[in-house]
Amino acid sequence: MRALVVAALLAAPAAAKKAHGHGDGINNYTLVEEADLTRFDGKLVANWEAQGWIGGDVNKFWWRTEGETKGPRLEQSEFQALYSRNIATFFDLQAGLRHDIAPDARTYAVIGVQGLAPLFFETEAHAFIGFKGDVLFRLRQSFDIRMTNRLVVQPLFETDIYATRVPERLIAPGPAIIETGILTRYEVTRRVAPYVAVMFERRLGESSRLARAAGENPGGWSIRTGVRFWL
Amino acid sequence: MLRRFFLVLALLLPSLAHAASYDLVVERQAMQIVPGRTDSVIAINGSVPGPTLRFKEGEEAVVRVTNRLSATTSIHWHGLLVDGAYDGAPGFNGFAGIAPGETYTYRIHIRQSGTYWYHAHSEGQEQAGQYGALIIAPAGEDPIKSDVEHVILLSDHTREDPGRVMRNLKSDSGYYNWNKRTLPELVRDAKKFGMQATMAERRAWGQMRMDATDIADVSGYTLLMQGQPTQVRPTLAFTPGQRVRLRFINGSAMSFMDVRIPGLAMTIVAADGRPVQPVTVDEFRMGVAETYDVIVEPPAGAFPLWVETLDRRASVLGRLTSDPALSIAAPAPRPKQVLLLAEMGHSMPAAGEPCSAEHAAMGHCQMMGAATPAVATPTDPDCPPEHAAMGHCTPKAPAAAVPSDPDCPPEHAAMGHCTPKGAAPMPAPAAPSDPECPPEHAAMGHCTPKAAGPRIGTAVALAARPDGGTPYPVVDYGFGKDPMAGMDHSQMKGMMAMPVLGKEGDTDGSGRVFGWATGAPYGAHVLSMRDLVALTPKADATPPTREIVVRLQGNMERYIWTLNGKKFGEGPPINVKFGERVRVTFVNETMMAHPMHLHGMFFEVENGQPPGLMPEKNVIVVAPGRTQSIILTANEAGEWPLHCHLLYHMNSGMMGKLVVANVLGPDGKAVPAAGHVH
Repeated sequence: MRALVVAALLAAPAAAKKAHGHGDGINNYTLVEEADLTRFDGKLVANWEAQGWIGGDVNKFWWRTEGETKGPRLEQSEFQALYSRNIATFFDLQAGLRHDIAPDARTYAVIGVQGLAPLFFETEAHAFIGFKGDVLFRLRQSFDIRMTNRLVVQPLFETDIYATRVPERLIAPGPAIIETGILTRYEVTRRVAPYVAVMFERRLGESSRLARAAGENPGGWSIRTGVRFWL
Repeated sequence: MLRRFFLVLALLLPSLAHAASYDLVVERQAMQIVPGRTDSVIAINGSVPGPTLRFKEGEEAVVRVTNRLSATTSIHWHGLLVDGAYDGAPGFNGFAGIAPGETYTYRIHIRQSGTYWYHAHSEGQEQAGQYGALIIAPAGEDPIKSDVEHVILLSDHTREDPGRVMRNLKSDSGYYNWNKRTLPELVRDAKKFGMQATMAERRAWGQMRMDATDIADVSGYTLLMQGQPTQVRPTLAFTPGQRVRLRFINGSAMSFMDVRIPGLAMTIVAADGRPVQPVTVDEFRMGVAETYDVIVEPPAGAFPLWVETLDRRASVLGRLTSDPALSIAAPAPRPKQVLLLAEMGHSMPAAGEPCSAEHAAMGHCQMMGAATPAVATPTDPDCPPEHAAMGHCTPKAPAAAVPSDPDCPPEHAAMGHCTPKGAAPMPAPAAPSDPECPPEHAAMGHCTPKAAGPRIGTAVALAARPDGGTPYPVVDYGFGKDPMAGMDHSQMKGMMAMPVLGKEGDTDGSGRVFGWATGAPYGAHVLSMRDLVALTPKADATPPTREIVVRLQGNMERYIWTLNGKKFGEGPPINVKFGERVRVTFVNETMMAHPMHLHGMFFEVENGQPPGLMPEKNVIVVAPGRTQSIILTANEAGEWPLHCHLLYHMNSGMMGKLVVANVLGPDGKAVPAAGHVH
């Protein structure tokens, strides 16, 4: 028996590391950051924002979606499918496609970074190059302030800065839209956290004037309650 | 050919010896571990933990393991000297694991005695319940005398699936930390230390994107003592007057534990299965996968056996009692810790070495590259080039001007760590002529005269809180050395600017203690790794011929853990010649303690004891930012895993392969040597 083992040892090929299953597992993550239903302008507004990934430590498929319905109408919706590669300790480089259904159908090439900036700022910075020639840059940052280990106050800030004019979307070049506010969540578990968000979302400058001229609301304050959860 | 024949013959002969056999069936089951709920576990022969296996030294052990899971499994015999194929680590020595439905027969010639354990070495199966105790009686007289014994297998049970735990950690590394610092704590710290100092400290942690409260990666555990949580009232019976041997096994996946029996002195008599000279302690800290044999001689009554995890979020209370009617109460819980930035600053990669993520984050790596001024004479033998490059070495002359105690490095003096010798409750220093006690150890009171009776745990140096001292003492568990001790910190640019709010042992505004190694009170006798001395001197105590450096690194945020910057399978194996005697130095560059485990062999821990008397272990804890070396005589051929025994660290990459071989194969690669020298 032992001789057999010895023989086996001598003949043993470099045993597959896969057999052990260490170090290179495929994981996945799905975070619904915002899912809420509120009243705005006398209409029921549904808002969602979700992202997730599937992959290993270095290479991931990353997706993201956000959108809003007002009454029965889909106001805005976008979907991103990205290849995400870990390039620094705290950052991934991402590239891929974004497709919007509303306000109008549009596709963009996406390139950007996502990660954790110093002082624990969750950071997303992406450039979008539209197939119809429109170009914009989006920055999103947020930060967790823990009142207790469950009650978290999260200031967040997002802006879309356009390099081009997009008449169909009533957009002028420059910082066109900002969204900022404070989202207060209570982590019932790490994965389920109801929240109340006090948000200010508004068009700026000429983009605001264009919207008003078209009879649209350039934005303002809103209070949203919903649930943040991950699967 | 003739040689092969004799080899086969020689190998077959021992099989005539007495054989002990066990059949183990590994199966997923729904089981009530914690009263009132049913959890999905992996049981062995229908129980968690699995049955306690008992062998006798010299026996031929045969264990048939049947896999009734839907996934490949394995059983590893932790601490056992085995043929590689029977070590039970898939991916090593040609062992591919046990496929579903299959039975694998392990054959082990038992050539040791003591307290060990066994566990799955596949994915997260160990966490789900696939582990048990393994006790080996010596062939001759047991050097450890006792009247009764109890096996105390400690484990951390969770109802979560281990795969889910890993996924949670990969998605949010702080998922299980419910001890994070809060805004109200910041306000209280600002009140105590001033707003500016508090913000500077918070900013420093924030710059590094590291968490000062990251003591344990996983929580939500129920601690079990032989499979029983506190609610089930685990009970250990004794008769007054008996010498009771407690065989402690930390069989947990992730939990460091502090063990104490208030009111009862414990005498440590063995560590990781190997007998040591008795050390009397009030408490000891157990790294994951360590085992300790303890003798207690309790008077009539009931004593609480109190075990708590380092993050103080899980505990188990056992009852050591001479009368089943008696009840006990748990002692007051210990304060929670906050790590000190300074703990991190003590380990840095040398010039040209790979830079760990945490260091990169701290900007240490840039410093390395930018370093040009050679402060020290390049030829200074006391100053390795990498330190010189960092400006850590000062010319001899000013160093000599340091007036004080040679045992007290300036930075310790500055921190108030050094006390007059007389104040220490340690045994009298040995005579300087003691050949087994080098002068520097004698001066520290580490050597006891042989006749002075049992040793006493020395991790806490002070018997009482000195005037102006911190509320808690510094506890030096001996889990590695501070590689920067004795250096002039004022010369370190950038590093020592790292703000700290208090000294180790101080409390923050919310009553948390600063420092990883804290919690025990003044005057407690706490086991230090330095206190362990092999019971029988080892014959081969020659110095090692070379040094292998293993850097323990990680990216906590992404939950990736590595050895020398490589996840398992990414880097080359560590090759050691059969019979070679090497020093392996672990440099912990992370904020977490890592219990490093080597399969297949014992190693000697360089704990300050003289050669030959250093304790033999198979797990060594390296505290955050510390450096610990071991000496290995590579006398077992094969491919041996060398890994962090924190399950999710290992599973996220913190493992390497140590190959002991003396042959080169036709492809020029090392091939494990055949046979053994017994």
